[in-house]
Amino acid sequence: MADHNDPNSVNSIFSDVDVSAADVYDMFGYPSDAAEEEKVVLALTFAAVPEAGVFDTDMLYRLQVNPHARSVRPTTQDWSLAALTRYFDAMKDHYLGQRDAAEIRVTVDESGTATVRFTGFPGGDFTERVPTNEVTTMRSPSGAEIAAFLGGRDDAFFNDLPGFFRSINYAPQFYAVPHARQDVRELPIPKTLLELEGNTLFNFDPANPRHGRGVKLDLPDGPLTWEGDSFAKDAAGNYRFVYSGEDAQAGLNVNAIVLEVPLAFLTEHPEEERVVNVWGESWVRKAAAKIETIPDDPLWTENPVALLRRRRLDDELRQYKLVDTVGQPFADAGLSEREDNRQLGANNFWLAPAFVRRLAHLGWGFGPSVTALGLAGVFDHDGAPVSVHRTYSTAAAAFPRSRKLIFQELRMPDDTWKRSDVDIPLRRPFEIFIPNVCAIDMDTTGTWPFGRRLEDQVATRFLSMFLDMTAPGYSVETLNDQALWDAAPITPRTPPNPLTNDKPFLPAFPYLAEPW
Amino acid sequence: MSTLLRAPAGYRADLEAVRRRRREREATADPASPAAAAEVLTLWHREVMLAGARPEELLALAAAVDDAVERFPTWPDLRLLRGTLALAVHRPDVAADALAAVPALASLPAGRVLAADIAQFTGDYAAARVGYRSAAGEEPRWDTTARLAALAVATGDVEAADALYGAAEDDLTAKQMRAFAWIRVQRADLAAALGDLDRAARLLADADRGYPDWWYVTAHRAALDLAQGRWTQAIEGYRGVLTDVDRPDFREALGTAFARAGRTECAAECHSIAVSGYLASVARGEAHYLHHLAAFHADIRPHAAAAVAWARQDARSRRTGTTLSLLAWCLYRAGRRDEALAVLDEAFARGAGDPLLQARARQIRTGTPT
Repeated sequence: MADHNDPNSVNSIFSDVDVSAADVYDMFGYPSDAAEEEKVVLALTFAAVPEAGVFDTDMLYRLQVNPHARSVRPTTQDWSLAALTRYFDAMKDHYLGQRDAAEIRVTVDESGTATVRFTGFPGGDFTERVPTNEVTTMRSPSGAEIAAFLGGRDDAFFNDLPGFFRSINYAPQFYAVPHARQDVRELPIPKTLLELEGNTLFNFDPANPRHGRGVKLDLPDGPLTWEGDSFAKDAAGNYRFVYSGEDAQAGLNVNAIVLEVPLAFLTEHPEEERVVNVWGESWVRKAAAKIETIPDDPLWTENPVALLRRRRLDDELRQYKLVDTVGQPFADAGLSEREDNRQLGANNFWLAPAFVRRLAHLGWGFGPSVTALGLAGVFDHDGAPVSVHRTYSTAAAAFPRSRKLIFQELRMPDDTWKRSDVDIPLRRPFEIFIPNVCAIDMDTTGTWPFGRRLEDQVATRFLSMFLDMTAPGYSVETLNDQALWDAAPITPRTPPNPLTNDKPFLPAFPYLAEPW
Repeated sequence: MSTLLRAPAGYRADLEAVRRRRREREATADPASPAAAAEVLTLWHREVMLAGARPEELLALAAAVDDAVERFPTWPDLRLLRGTLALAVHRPDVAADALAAVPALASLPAGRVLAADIAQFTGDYAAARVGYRSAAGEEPRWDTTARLAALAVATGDVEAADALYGAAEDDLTAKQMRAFAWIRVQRADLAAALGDLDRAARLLADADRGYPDWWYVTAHRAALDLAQGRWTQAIEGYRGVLTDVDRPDFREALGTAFARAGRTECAAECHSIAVSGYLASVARGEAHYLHHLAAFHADIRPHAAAAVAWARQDARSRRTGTTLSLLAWCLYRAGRRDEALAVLDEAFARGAGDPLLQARARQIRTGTPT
């Protein structure tokens, strides 16, 4: 019987899209400020679906934790591609060897009770069922007390996301893009911090001030390019900033998993293993696991590739599909271009060449903007007077341009980030983003990039990578300094992103603010 | 035994949700916006397919899409939708025109998939395979994998087909239970075609548990009951389907179930209604019921000349394993075995090899009485 419901119809009728409870937003991690015992605060935030405080029962959230000693890295003198490759290889062995070692899994049932499983930690494997939306204390077999909160919170991310998207000419933020046009995402227009003269697709429009901030226009037919040769200036000679400093996340909620864990539970050697790497993952229950099907075929006859993949998973994870990962802020949005097949978490080493190419691409965009503002930039853009759209097909071709950016130490504004006299090297971009983990240094406050504290304005610190950190007074906080913008030939005179969250963080666990 | 971890919403809730969403979008859509038009029409398409894919509704929707295309000729989603609709009513020529209207589509995964759909529909299996693989390489999707599985069925590689369906299914989450049920139905059909009716029944039971109350699953379950000689269950199943989807082919199937059960009057009435529906469609110049007419006159109400005529007309627009298999069968039933063998040769030469073609070929080659 021909049923008129054949595969030709599949695309439209069945194009259901996963709900976004799988969309993990941020991975925070820092040494607890509590004095009585060395602890780590871990906070994974994700979309508040179905609503804040109510978890999707088809989801499994996973935090993987990997404490280790500080890594040996290329010396400050050896700034070669070979040195970088050697470093990534060494780190890859380290991570791939241990990445299954320790983890925390969370599922929530329909009664709102969470099951939290700790496995692979020196402090012992254990599982507890705890209520959601309450602070609870779990006790491990070794007696460690772990504070937990699983529930709805205010979104702790404060950020002018539309400004970032304007800087990279990201069409879906501003336009209704046809579904068929997967090629129309970041348009081939130079990335920039300053508006480009004649970039009518993305420049601020006073007649439509919310364009890109909730208002979308239909994608125009015309060329999706830019042919100009200068930054835009107003009558007073000021540039127009692509950022507004507005908090696009104001008033929004998330669901969150917040834990405060004794370091001695995570590692047998807390004196030596001073860096706690953590990254989060979202997994969605597979369709076949939703019902109890009757297996009638060994998987190897159905799908040998899937079988090989599954053999590395335990019984529980085989029932789920990995959807999203989060470690470092902007590792996805800024560097991996949000590709589904790049959701690799810590195992993102194969992206290293893409990382080198992407940074060079971003450098050609942001570098001339930085220079135009009179700031010292790190990217070698040959003195280009305006941002340039340039892509690279090989890391070798891109590396000479991005070398200094990749290797430079990101200076901190002062020494308050250190919590001891230990000599801790400043971090450099290559070791921040690959592997894609939140690397919490226990001898610091955990402020980014030595972890990530709730109050860190990480989006602006990310942009500071394009500054020359050897310039006097420069640090990861330079672009957060209102005085710099007050003196800059720009409008609006504001740091790119808000300096504080819309709701004050709490002084006590769970630290994230109450939901709206 | 209910083994659901949480009851899926199922067909009726889904259909209501799609209808409600379409109404809401229609009420607020900006008439000057191609994106809004495409969204409303896509929702309409989803609703029509979910509600039974009745050709008259598909054609009404196609007319609405044509209107939208006239207003927004460069919006690719509208062209893709038009192409998909055209294939659903057996008009590959219209589908190809829709695709060609926006040249950029040819290099994008969605355009490649539609081009491959057209190739498969018209029997160019090699081009279909290349197209699907190319699209899947750039943008892996479960439904492209399912298309490759269907292609493997069409070309006779049934082991690969089931493996591909398995791979597609493995990619689905609990948020895609309709797609899960659809794949289980395809696997059930394949199992039934290979003679494993018990497995087919299990797979259909999975589909029903995963996505309850869907007429699509019920129709396939009824077809299996028919194949297993369970006339009462088949009658009950098709009656249930017809309360949701009144389509001539389901009327015909119900009539056949009545006939097998010895209820000749009911059978005759159902068959008459079905044939009237088919003929009315043909009279409107439509092609999508030609193969039903051919099969009906070959096997249900034998009329050899009519069967061959309808099958030839169907094969004129697309020479695939499906159409050639049916034509060969009609010729054989008409006592024209040599011509049937020649048509079979053409089908196999084109790379076709689906289980029904294979079964018919065995029967025709051995000269087994029909």
